[in-house]
Amino acid sequence: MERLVRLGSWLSLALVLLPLLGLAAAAIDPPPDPFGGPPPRAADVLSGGLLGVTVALGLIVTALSVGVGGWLAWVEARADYPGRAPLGVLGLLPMAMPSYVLAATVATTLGPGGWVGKPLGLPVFSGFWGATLVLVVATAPYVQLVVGAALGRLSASEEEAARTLGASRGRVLRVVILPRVRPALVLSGLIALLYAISDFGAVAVLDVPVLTWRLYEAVRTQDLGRAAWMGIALLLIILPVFAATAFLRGDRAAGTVANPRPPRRVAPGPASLALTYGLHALVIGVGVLIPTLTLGGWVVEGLQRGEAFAPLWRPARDSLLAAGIGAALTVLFAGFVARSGGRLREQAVYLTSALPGVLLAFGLILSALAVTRAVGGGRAMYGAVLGSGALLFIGYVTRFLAEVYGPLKTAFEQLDPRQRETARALGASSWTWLVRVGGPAVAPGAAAAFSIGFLAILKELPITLMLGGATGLSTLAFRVWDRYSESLWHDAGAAGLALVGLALVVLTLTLRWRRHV
Amino acid sequence: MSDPLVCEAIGHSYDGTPVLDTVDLAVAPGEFVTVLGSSGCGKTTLLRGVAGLVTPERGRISLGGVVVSEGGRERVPTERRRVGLVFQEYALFPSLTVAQNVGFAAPEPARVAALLALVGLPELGARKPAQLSGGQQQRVALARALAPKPTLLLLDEPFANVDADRRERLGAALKATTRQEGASVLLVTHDRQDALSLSDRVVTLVPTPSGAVVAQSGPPDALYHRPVSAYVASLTGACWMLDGEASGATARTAHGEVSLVREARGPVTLVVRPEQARFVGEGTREVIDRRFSEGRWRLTLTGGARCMGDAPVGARGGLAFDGPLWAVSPASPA
Repeated sequence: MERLVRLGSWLSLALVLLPLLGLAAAAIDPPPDPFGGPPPRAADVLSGGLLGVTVALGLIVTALSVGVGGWLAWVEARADYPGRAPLGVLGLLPMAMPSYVLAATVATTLGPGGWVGKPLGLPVFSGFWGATLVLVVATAPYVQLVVGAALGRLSASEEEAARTLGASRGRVLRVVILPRVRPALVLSGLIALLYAISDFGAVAVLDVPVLTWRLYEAVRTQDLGRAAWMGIALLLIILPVFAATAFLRGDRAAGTVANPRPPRRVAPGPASLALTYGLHALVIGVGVLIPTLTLGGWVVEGLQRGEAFAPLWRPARDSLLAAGIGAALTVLFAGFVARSGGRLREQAVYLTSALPGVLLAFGLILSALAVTRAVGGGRAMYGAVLGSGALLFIGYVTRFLAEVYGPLKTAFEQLDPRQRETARALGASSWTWLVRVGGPAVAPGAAAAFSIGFLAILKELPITLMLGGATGLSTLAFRVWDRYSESLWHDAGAAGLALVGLALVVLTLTLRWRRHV
Repeated sequence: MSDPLVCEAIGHSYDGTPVLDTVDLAVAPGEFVTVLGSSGCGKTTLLRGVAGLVTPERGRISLGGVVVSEGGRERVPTERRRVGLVFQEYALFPSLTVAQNVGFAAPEPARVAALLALVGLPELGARKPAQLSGGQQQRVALARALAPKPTLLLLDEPFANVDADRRERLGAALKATTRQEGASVLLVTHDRQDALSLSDRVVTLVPTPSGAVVAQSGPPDALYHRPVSAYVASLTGACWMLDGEASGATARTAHGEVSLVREARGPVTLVVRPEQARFVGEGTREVIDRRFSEGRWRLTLTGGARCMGDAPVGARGGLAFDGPLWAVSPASPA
């Protein structure tokens, strides 16, 4: 049993290194130009502001997202205002929305000629600023969760001690609260930054010239040399951000109180209240209302025009299959790593999951090419590898291993070795222990981990596009993308509604299970 | 000079659950007063009311003659009350050094150094709170609370997280420090040892369905030897109750005739501290348990009587009482 776990954990490490090895192989031995020209130079590939736009998008999204999510976490923890609880829950729902759905619906409602923005005289959101809006709304709930958790761990007594010592509100905030929340603010900012740099859906739909979108286009046109340079540039941008998150993750809040006394809630002033409702309106409006209403509107229009709807059962089945198998595999491999421990393997898990799906998929394609070339297999062998779905599921596993790893590790950490020893002393076999004690203890964490993986794969687009096509799988995500690109709004709307509905169900389950972890 | 603290008829409830009924309490200049009560009886609420972290629904609180809260209205906010508060969990600011913590409200380096020396940590100013032991953190919290020279120092179970060995030394340091600083002290605790050993005066709180009320207030020895009720008797030390029929200076009990501290008539309940009763060879009670503590064997006999004496479990005998016993209600002083 122990040996199996150790073997599995090393296999996990091999999997997460596979796409990186592919990229490394391409850097050493660049793939040829499709038109027989000289191999492209990095300077040519990365000119034209590609790097600048990528970094600018990431930084602007991060700043705004930390502001929006941080403020909402603060008022949720400390303020008392009508509708606080339901607005707090609704504000988390954008996590169920794929960024390409958000972007597509923002483009038709708030973009040039948008039917919501134009009559209301709102600024036009398209291209860069459209993607900024979408990514802020998509990442703010993550910031809200991370910062909210840190605020929840704060004990009121430090603030009360400062007040008895005569400190003003401003000084209490600066000296007592901010130092406690700063790691969470920075960590959530880095998460938002990674999300924004890695995003594919929003920048693809809104055609923003950033590395992920241009990398995908280069792969699609078989220009692997150019794609390799862009992949390496992405990796170089992400590595320092990743190193910072790894550093912060190891530096967990020291000296918090086990049973903090909850602080008093205060009624916010009119300006704070207006800001709070405004930000709720932004997140819920752009992240929940606009996408659901727009998708619904596309379907209704299609019905009114008597359009023929492509049946949804097959994409729905394929989505459930892909997400189910993918999440199960991810939980399995994450479980190996979580059970066996090992700092190197853990860091490798976090690293690959910090990489954009586009980059991972590309790395896997490159490693498959390198391997087939090395063993002398031709196009047929490469096609067979791609068509088997192995690469698709390795892509899913590597992309989402870290998200699944967190709750699983927490669950395993709760397994006290003394409990197992006690069970053995009481005469229980390993199997009895697993069924009656260990299994039930880990089950809620495993369920939460599975649902997190399931939701992530359900929404996933670039890996599905790049590695799933050859397998014959046609998921809901693929259907939305495909029909939206073809301007078949009614089909995109129907598939989008099905996808969002499914994602909302899974998200609700995840948020519920997460409380038990 | 007006008293540093006067609480008049304080009452409070949380979401309709009464906590404090009508509590009167005063602390004189330089006095060390302890509020003693069981866990959850409202001691901390009273302390937080004085600090201004809770505004009591009823009653009036004055600090140094200034009314700070009255009839559910806050008159002076916490940050302007100038009281020192030491929390059970210390609540040091983790991002600041020890010296910065102490100097939070009084940043003069000389004052900080003097206070750190006073609490016995002169060389630890540059450390962060996380690098200190529990007892050291407690002393830093005390120095921080004393730094702005409060006239009243509030302590909430200050030794709850310190082992028994350290308690005594910390208690002595606390007493010496507050005396030197001339601060009056209000300490709340459920630990009778802390309460009796440190205080000039102990105020016992007793929970009732309408909230806690003051059961008895006085010097520690008075509460120990002359408690007004069985509740106060057990709150202030180990004891058991013996029913009897009083007739003047003596009372008849199941353990024979005993003498009384004060004369009474009719049925009485007598408080017996273990050290007041001795095991003797003649009698019919059986020893059912014995424990060794503080240099002596303590025996438990059938019927619940507890006494001192060296006898094995199973031995039979009776009790002899050293000195007169104290009668609590329903005593009617003669």
